[in-house]
Order: sequence, then C-alpha cells, then structure tokens
Amino acid sequence: MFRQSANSHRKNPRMRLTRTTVLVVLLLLSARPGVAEEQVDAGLQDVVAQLAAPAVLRGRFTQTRKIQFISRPLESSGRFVLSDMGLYWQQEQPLASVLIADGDRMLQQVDDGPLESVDVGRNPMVLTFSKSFLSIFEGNETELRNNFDIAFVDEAGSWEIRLSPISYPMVEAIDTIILRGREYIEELIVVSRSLDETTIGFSDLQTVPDQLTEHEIELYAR
Amino acid sequence: MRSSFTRANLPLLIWVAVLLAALVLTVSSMAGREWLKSNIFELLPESEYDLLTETATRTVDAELGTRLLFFVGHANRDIAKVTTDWFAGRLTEHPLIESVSTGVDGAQFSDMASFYYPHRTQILSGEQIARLAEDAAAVERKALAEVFSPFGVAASTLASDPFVLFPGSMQALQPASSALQLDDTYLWARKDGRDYIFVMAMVSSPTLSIGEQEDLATHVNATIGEAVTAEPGVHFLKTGFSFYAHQATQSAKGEVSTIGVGSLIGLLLLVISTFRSLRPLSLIVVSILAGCLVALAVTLSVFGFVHLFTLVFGASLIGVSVDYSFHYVADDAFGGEDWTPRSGLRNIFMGITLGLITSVLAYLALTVAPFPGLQQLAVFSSAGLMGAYLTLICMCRLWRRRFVVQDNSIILGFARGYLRVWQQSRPQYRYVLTAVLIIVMVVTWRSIEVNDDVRLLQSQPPELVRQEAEIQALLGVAQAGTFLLSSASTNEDLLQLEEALRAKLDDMISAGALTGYQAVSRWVPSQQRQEQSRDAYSALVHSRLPAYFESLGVAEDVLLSTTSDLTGQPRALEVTTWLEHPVSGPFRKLWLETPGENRASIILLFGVQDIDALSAVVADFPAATVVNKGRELSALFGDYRTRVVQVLVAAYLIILAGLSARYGPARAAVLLVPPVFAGLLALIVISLAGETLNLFNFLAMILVLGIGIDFTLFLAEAPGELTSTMFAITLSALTTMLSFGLLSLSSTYAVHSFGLTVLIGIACAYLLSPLALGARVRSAKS
Repeated sequence: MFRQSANSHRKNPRMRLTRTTVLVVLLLLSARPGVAEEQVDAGLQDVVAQLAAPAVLRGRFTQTRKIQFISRPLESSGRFVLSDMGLYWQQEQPLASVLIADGDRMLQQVDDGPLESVDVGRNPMVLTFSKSFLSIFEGNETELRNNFDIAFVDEAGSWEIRLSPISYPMVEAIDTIILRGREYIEELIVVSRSLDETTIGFSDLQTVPDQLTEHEIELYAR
Repeated sequence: MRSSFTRANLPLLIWVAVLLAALVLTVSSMAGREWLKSNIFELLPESEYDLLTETATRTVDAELGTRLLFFVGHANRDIAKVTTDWFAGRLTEHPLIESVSTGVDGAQFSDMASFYYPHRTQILSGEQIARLAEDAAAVERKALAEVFSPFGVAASTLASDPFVLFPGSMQALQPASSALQLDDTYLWARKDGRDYIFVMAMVSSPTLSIGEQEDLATHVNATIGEAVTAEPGVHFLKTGFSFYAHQATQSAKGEVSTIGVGSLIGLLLLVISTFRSLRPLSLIVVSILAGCLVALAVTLSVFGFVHLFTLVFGASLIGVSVDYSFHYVADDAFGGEDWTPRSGLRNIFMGITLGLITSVLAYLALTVAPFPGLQQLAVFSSAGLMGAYLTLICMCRLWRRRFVVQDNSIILGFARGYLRVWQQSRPQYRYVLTAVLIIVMVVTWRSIEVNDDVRLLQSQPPELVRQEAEIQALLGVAQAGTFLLSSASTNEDLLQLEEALRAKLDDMISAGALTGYQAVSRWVPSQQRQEQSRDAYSALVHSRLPAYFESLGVAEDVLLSTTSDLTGQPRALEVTTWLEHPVSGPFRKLWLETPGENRASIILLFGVQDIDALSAVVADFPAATVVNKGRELSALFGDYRTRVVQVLVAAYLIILAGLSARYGPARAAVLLVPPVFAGLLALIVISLAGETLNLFNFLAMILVLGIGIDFTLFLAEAPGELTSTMFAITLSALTTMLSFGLLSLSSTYAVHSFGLTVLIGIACAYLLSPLALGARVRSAKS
C-alpha cells in the first residue's frame, strides 16, 4: 500500500510520511540487542511488511459479535476496500451501512440516509479506535507500538499477533486484540474489557489490480 | 552688602532647596518599587458600569487577557508534535505561565463522560429531541449501525444506552466553535502545506508589569527561536494580550527616547545656529531639567507611579517649557546697554506669567475627560511648566554675561522679515486675510469626519495582527470580547433565560451573524429542559425498546432493567453540582458570584458581526444586556469629545472675558482670532489629508489654545520694539512644533493625532499671531 498509486492527484501525503517513519523504526529496531526480542521483531517485521505490501486490498468480511447479555451472536457481513485513501467498509447484512475512515475523519451512512461525518474531533475515544484499527489493517508498526504491547507467534507460515492496549483510551475499553493470518490478515478478534468478543473474518482477498479502480475511487469520494 | 546679597539670592536659594527636595522625593519614590507602568488599562477611564457589569467585564477581561495562543506548524505532523511537546515543556518552565495545554486531555474527556453518564436521559440536545419526535425509527437504525460498526463500542453499552444517544448529547455539550481536528490528543489544522498543532498557555495575571511582560516575551521568543534553529521547517504563530502589551511598551519606550533625543538635538541646533554659543543652552537645559524633575516629583507624589504614556507626552514638554528661557535670552540679546537681568525679567514677566497661566489652564482643562492617563499628563505637564518657569525667574541672574544673537541667524532673519511683512502691510489686509480664512474654513468644513472607535487608539503592530488573524482562521473562532449579561432571581429562571437567548443566538449562527458562544446552560440544562429530555427519552424507550431488543436477541431481564433504569427517577443535575465538579473547569467563571439574592451569568460571544443587530435581538429580553467594553469605551470617547468641544468654547469665552477687562472686547477678540483659527485649520488640514478625527485631536486643540494664545499675548504685551518678541515666539513655535511633530510619528494613533494637531495648530497660530499687532498695549514706535 505504500507504493504510489497511479492516480497521483489523490495521494495522501500522510501515508507517505508514515512509510518513512516505519522504515526508520524498523532500522532502529534492527539495531536493538536481545536475541529473543530480535526474533520476535524479525518475524513481526516480516508480517508487518507483508501487511503493508499491497497498494490496495479488497475482500469480504464476516463479523460475529458476542455480547454478554445477548444469547445469540450479532452477525453482519459485507465487503471492504483498503487503500491509501483509507478504509471503505460496506456492510450489507443485517442492515446496509457504509463507513469511510482515514486517520483523521470518519464518515457514516445508514440505509439510504445521508453520508454523515462522525464527529471524531470531540471524542478522542472514537478516533483512537479507528486509527488503531486502521494501523492494524495497514501494518503501521509505529502506531501499533505506541498503543499496544505486542506478542508474536509464527507457526508454519501462519502467524498470530496479540495486542494488549497500553494507552488511553483503548486500555479502558479493550482487553486484547488478536490478529491471525498467512499472507494477509485473515481474522481479527477483539475482546473488550466487558469480555464481549468481536471476530471479523476476511475472505476473498484480492490485491489485483494494484491500484484503485474508477468505481472504487468514486466510493471513497462520496 | 551682605544683607543685599542675601535678599537678592533668597529666591534662588529657596528654589535650589525646592529642587533638591524634589530630587530626593523622586529618587525615594522610584527606589524599590514599580514606578513606571505601561498597562493601557491604567489610562482608560473607570467604566460607568454598575457593579455587576463591572464584575462581569473584569471576569471576561481576565479570561481573555490571560490566554496565550500558539500554533506549531511543520510539513510533517510528527515533527510538529515532537516540537509541540518540547515547546510546551519550555513554556511551563516560566514562572508566569500557569498552565500549558497541547490539546484534548483524554482523562478530562473521560471525567466529563462519567459526570454526565448518570444524567444521560436528561441531557438530550434540542436537536436530538426534535429528531426523536420526527423519525424515531431512523434514530434506531443509526443505533443499530453503531452496534455493528467494527470500530464501535456501542454494543457494550447497549444495556445502558441502547439508542447510542449519549455520544451525541456529549457533542452538543462541547462548545461547537473549533475547526480543529484531533490526532492522538493533539488538536491541529492544515494550512499552506503545514500541519499546525494548537497550544494554549494561561498567564498567571492579565496585567503584567513592564518587567514581567519583557521577561515573558523574551522567554517565548527565545524558545521559538531555539525551536526554529533546531528544526528549520518549523513555523510558529502566536497571539495574546501579553504580546500586544509588550509590543506597545517597547514602541512607547522607543518613542520616549526618539522624542526626547530628537527635541534636544533640534534645540541644540537651533541655539547654536542662533547664538553661536552654548551658553544660552546651559540656561535652557537647566530650566528643562528642573522642569522635568519637578514634574516627576509631583506626579510620583500624586499618583505613586508614572505611566509610560505620560512620559511620551511629557517628552514633548521639553519643547514648551523652553519658551520662558527663550524670551529671557531674546530680551537680553536685544536689550540696550543698560539691560540687567532684573530689567529683562521685568520686561518679559507679564508675558511669560500670562503664558504660564494659560498653558497650565489648558493642561488642567484636559482633565475634563476622566481618563486617568490624561489627568496624570495634565499634572505632569503643569508641574513641569511651573518648574521651568520658576527656575528661570529664580535662577536667571546666575547668567550675568550678556547673550549675543548672531546677526545672520536664519531664524532671526525670518522673524524680522515676517514681522516686517505684517508691519508694512496695510491694516485692511488683515481683515481681507481673516475673511478669506473664514470662507476657506466654511467651504472645507464638511470634509471633517469623526471616528471614536477605541480600537483606533491602540497601537496595532501589523505582524501581531496578521498572526492573530491567521490563528483565528485556523481556530475557526473569531474575535471575542462581546458578551451577554443576564440576571434572574433563581438559578432555574436564569438557565431558562439563557436557553431562550441561546435559541436566538443559534438563529444568528445559522444566519452567519455569529460564530459561537459559551453559556452555562449548555452544560447544565434548566430543569424544564431536563424534563423535556426525559419525556422524549421515556417515550422512545416505551415505544421502541422492546422490539429493538428482541430483534437483537437481548434477554428479557435486560430489557426490564434497562427500561426501569432509563425511565425511573431522574438524578438531579443542578448548577451547584456542576460548579463544584472539576468538569466545569474554566467555564464556571461564567456563572457570576453575586452579592445579593439575584443570580447572574455571562454568555461569551464569538465573532459578532453586527453588534447593533445583536442588541436589537436581545432587546426582547429585559433581564439581559449586551456588553462590549470596546463599544462602551468608543461611546465614552465620543461623549468626551463632545464635552471637550464644550470646554473649549467655554475656555475661549472665559479667556475672552478676562482679556476684555484688560484690552476691551474688540481687541480681546482680535487676540483670540489666531489660536481659534489655528485650531480649526488644524482639524481641517488633518481631515483633508484623509484622517478621521477623534477625542485626541480635540484635546490637542486645548493645547493649541493654551500655547497659541501665548504668541498673541507676547506680541500684545511686548514693550517697544517687537523684533525680540517675534524672535522668541519664532524660537518657541519651532521647538513646540519640533517636539509635537515628533509625537505625530508615534505608532499609537492617539499620540499621533494629538501630536499632529498641535504641530499644525501651532504652525498656524504662529503664522497668524501678527494679527494681534492691531491690539497692542503699547505703541511700537520708540
């Protein structure tokens, strides 16, 4: 995703900066002592680099949310696009809604209603959440290290990253975030402090074409 | 012999003793305390407010006056963040900085959330209530979307806030006045390819002493300089009352020395070119220094401090107090063989005494405007003039050797030539000239325009104004300073009044006539509003919650507990609770502490476009008033301008009456023509040059009268040949024009207006003064 897309007039400068920062952090990390940590970091770096590699990632998602006081899980599904323009999250079931998020803003549309800005400026919680999730999707290691303790397990090509929040406000609401995957991220599990659990499975992942189609650009631009 | 020596020198000895006493007094007054002040507020009149408005104004002044706002910009936001942290740390080190904030404090937000959460059914915003009434189904759909949102936490709070209304209520509680975005806890905005991070610092007091201002500004500028050196791509914007105050002090200090040094150099050149000797200068300098010393001593003992503004004006005193010495020196230089200091003094005594009296009266007339600044100025100048006068009277005999005027002196040549033109022209020409001037004045009178806006009078360094404008644009917050003051007999009544007012203000915001406001009722709705909120909330719960929860599969017992929780007894949310809780923060100051039974509060307004339109809206509410200190002051300035004109007219009439006793009405009127015309011409010339007139132009006319009438009086009173008098008048007009001319260069508009009016007025008064030739006491023929 750090490759520059062909439609250069839509480039987001922030993303390019992030890339530089990631590289700097990786260089710094590689110089750090401690064998065990180095191994963890080496594996993590690979995964992070892998996550960050495609310019555009698109696919389907299935979300299962288990709430303590609700007997059956809340299930939803739809499709998504992730690119340097941010995350486009289109839920199809059980109700139609669209969420567009980048590091600084979030837009939401319910049913055929208007596309409304979720005013993240007033609530640091919402913004930190969306940014953290974005950084997970994007493989933004700096952002991740700022906000989480990271544990990494790699077994025969399938890996698992466990993130424990260390910074406010995530630490107040989230217990653990678990990411699993092979080439790309395949499953994301969020366990809240109240022990509610949200599992998002990703399928049908595609990185080709490696730039946004005209149709996708329109989706973001709404 | 011995006794005659003592008698002759008695005044001298006494005067030297007085001067020594003044010196001791001045030095002891200055020692160990802040004797020089520069705060512009000290100059302004006490407002004519009632106690409540005064309290409110002070609260708002203190609130706005203690803020320093910064933006730290860099093309790379991460670098801007690091620089911001470093900068905030350095600011905090300064003892005058009370607190520094670099954005939203997460903990503060969470405090606020936990304060309001128990009251969530009572704080629905007006918009939320309207939406529930309109389309409750859409509200439910939106809540459902939140419950499924991958970023959302709404699912976890489903049992306590099933329709996800609390975040919206919280948003409505926050002052909706900022165009800033959030990143981590930083607030930022983008401009010209840079990301600017917002920093706000609070200074410990709105009125800093000169030393403190200097210290703070130096620290801030040095810190900014250091940051820019370390990271050249960083760009800072700053604004705050303290920076303006510091800048004003700096420029005033510069002006004191420019005017003082400029006057002295001009004087030096005048004296050397005229007398080719520095000896007259010694007499002049001694009298100036003595005058300044007396002025300082009297001012310090009356007021306890000297304002920098007084010194700026006071520096021009040099040019006025020198007149007495000039008359003496000129009389000496032109006196005959038998001239003695005693006879010289006798020759000029009547002229300079009348001159002193009229000047002092003119200065004292300045005090009609109850501006502490002007009162001090009047005392300073009067004392200075009397000091210079007495110095000459008591000490002149120390200069026993005669003064000699260079016969080829340009000034003497001009004075002689100019006098001859008048003496040789036929008296009728004077009437013709008078008539022509009257016609010119009548024709051009309409060009005069008056502007009493107090903002004109403050010096506004363009660089600071530019940065302030940029900061306001980034913040999306316009100029503050106007507020509504409301009062009622109970807290509830006051909150309801505020809510009614806010409905009007919201309309103004939609119409673009206002950018925002801060009001306590935003954070604590009235009980009435809380009940409306609860009713709407209960209706929603009863009508939609069962089906909604069933669709999600929420257990029956959860539905029951949620329903009873949200529709049960309310938890009282009172102003008093809010005031005592940390969440009220700086906003608690808006709820005024009142001495009596009545309650009062401030609604702080931002970006008021048209204050008259605002007043018209508020006029429907008798218990609320619009307060704008700037506007009140402008009105006050206009009021005093009118009064000054009345005083001027009265002063002329009194002088006319006084002079009539000595000269008869006709000749007295002739004596008054030059200063009257001079003052009017000064106003007209300034207007024709495109400037609007203000109080200070009219105050200057008092001085034009006071000094201008000296010229005609000296000419009318001069015994015998007029060359020495005309010469002395020329010298004194030149020095006065020099010093006041320098004032007109001031960056402070008030000082500029004053200086320019005196400059032009005195020039005209001098040029017209020979009109008084027709009213001489003694014949010129000798």
